[in-house]
Amino acid sequence: MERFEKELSKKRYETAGIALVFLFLFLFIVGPPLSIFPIVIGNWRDIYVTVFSDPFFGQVGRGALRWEMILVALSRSFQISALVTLIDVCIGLPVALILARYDFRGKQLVDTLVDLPLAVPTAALGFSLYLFWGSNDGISGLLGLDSGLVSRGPILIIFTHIAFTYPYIVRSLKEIIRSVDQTLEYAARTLGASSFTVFRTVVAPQIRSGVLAGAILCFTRSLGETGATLIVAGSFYTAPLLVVEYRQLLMIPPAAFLSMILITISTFLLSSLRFSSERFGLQIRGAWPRAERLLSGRIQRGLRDTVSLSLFALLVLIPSSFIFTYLLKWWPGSPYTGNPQLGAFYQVFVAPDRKWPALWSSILISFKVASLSTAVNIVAGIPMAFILVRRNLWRVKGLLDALVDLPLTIPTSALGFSFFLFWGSKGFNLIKPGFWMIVLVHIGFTYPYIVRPLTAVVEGLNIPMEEAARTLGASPLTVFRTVILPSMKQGILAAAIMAFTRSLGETGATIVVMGLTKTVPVLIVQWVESLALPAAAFACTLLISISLVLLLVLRYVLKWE
Amino acid sequence: MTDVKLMNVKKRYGEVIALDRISLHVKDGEYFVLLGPSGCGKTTTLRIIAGLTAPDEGEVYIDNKDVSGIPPENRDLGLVFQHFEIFPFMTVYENVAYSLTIKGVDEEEIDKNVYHTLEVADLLEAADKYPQELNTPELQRCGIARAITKGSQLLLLDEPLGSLDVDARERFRFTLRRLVKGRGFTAIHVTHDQLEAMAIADRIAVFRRGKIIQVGDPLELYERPATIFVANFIGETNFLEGIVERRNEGTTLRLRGDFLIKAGESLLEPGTRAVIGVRRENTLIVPSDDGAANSIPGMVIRAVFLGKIVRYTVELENGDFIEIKQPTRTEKAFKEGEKVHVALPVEKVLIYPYPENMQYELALK
Repeated sequence: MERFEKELSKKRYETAGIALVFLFLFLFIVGPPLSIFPIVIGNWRDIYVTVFSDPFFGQVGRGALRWEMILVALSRSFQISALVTLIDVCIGLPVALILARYDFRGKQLVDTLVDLPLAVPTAALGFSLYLFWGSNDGISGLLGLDSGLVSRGPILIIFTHIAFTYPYIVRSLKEIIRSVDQTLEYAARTLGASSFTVFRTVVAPQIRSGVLAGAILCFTRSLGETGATLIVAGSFYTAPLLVVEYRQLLMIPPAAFLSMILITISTFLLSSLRFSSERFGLQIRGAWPRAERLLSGRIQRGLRDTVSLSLFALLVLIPSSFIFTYLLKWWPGSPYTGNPQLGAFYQVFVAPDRKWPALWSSILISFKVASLSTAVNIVAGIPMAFILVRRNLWRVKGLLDALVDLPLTIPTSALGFSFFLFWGSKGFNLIKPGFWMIVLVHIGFTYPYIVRPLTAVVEGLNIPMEEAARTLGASPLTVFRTVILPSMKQGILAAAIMAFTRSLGETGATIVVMGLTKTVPVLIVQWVESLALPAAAFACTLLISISLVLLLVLRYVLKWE
Repeated sequence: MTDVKLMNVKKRYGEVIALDRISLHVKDGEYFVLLGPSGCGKTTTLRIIAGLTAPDEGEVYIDNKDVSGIPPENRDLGLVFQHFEIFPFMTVYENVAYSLTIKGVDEEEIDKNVYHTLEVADLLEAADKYPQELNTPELQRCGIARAITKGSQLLLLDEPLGSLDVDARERFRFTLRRLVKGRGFTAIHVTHDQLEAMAIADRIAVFRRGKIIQVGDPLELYERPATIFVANFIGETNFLEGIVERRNEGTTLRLRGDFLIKAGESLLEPGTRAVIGVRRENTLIVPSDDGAANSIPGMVIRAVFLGKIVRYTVELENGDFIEIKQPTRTEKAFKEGEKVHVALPVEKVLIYPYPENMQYELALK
């Protein structure tokens, strides 16, 4: 083993290894989304016809062009994401503040509950929200209404997006508030500033770039979401949904064109985040001592905390866990007529359309896809993390960082579609939609979830310890196996669980490349569409439970030191 | 036969020259100390010998073999790190056995070797403990044990006593030196602590800003420091400026205020500027009516009683200040404000040409 490692530690193998890592990055991660540009240009004639001159309602001159439809979808997506981000920051900031600064009984519980939607695959989350707001089993039942309170459409989409982006914003705000030195706040207090003034003049300037980063993360997540949106959209459509629809109707040119636009916009958003977060200003001059003192009162603060926590409960916590109540109610049969054929149990296990075998095979596929893509990314991601941290990359560092993070912001349906083009008919024509293409897409979008945390782990490694092993006779690869890997174990496990959970819950990327192979979230979407709601609730609960266990393991792993 | 030679070794980090063409010869069985203030290049030198840093120019020979390009794992040496770098996920036993395990030595042999080393290092009881359960001296012994199990005759030590408290540090100097001498190792030890260097070394190389200023045994460095810097860095020295008056049977200097002081032999021409230095403990304070030779009148401005010694600060009549350390003798104590003479024994007076930059020579970095 050691002799073999010694041989492999030689320079030429090292160069070959680095070449492989980059080949992987370009071929499997950034190649497909970037290749959308040449593909669009190469097929411009088709695209021009279908997008700009072919009216999709027949009559020339009267029907809307697809281009107009695309524009509508894009502007809706942007409006929704902007609104969601704004509401998220407003209701998330006080909760982040509470979690970062206060100590109270049950804080650990609130902390876990805030992370809860993270564990819920978005398709399941969307379904749960639909059941809560939109069906007569949910809140309208409590209010004594006959039909759902909020029907499918833009408002329900906004509610759904708030619920699943909420943990992202609270987590990032919490971390950044925690990193602010509290003695500065004490100093401002002794100088006569009320607590609200302290927040505005002392805390806010220190956390603004973090808030912006969190907001952009939230915005891109909302912009790119497919699974939940599919369920709660009804006949309404957003840009990612349009990609899915075009793909399902086999209208490749407009789908390619829209994907290109989405990829461009999200890449631009990501790079603007990189370059502008430092310069983002916030007006802190001026003072309104009386008004701010009023806001700082004990009662007002209590009100703020109560309101933000209630909003969290109402908008996030209860709707996203409502599905469990629903399933219990509908398990034996319809709670209204008592007809067992409408119950989840009958639908899944007894009904002649054999839903259980379909669900079981989807679960197996989901697990295979998640395991394979996670394993591949661990193998490819560890060396990349080392290259990013240890190599002297000079100016290329920023570019490489951007490339690694590229899949993070691209809407997954657009990303998936670019993989479909790249490996399929418009590109290499090597792989047909189906299992292997799903695996490739999942490798593509989980890559940053592996590499990012691993770079942090590599940065934290103790180099002198590696040097100690070298002087004791270990070749670089032996050092890697005997010293570096044991020190990285937890970090790798944490990154793997994160990527695995993400893969398990993904809908948009899968739906555009899947062929006849289905993962669980896609199955849920289809069951909801075919109105087998109790069966869908059962599948959701199963998926959520699995993800929840994974999340709890993740928390345990991160605390374990 | 383990000796280490460095020939014209140069290393720069960007604009900073860490090592400026240094040459050094550490002989077989020698306890050699690289001494200097932080950032002087001593650790870089050690890392170059170990192969952890590649020099830009020059060669390193271990046992007369050029080791350029040989990676650290193929060099026959053991290195003890400043913060020990004990692998936290291995027990003490596994740490000490590491070099043998990865070489594929069979277990019986490892067992024998490791237990022997653990016994020497007084760590037998801690063998199955994890590093988190050890205190600093134990970690330090574990670091040394791990380095010597490899079986190399060359032992490199990078500030090995730096993390210990004062008491443990003094005990360990002795232990370390006995270990090295007992096993016939050649040791190269990096430190910034001159007392540690004096106590432990056969020979010392004094580093400053990437250059070796002087190499010699401790007594030589103490008695005949080559430059003002060395005189100031090793031991505590008073410096006085003057002009060479004449040169016969030693050198006579005219200090400020026209006081004449005699120093040892030198090659300085009459009329040139010079600096004399006298160790604090070699400077004598005598009553002003004593009429001592080679002395300057002054006044005690501060007397600090430190137990077995007394430290005086005397302002000379020419305005210079002198610090003096004397063993406490109650019958001859001087008070603040008392007129005294400061006598400089001729054979103890060091003499140097006036340097280009006196501030630089006196700085301790």
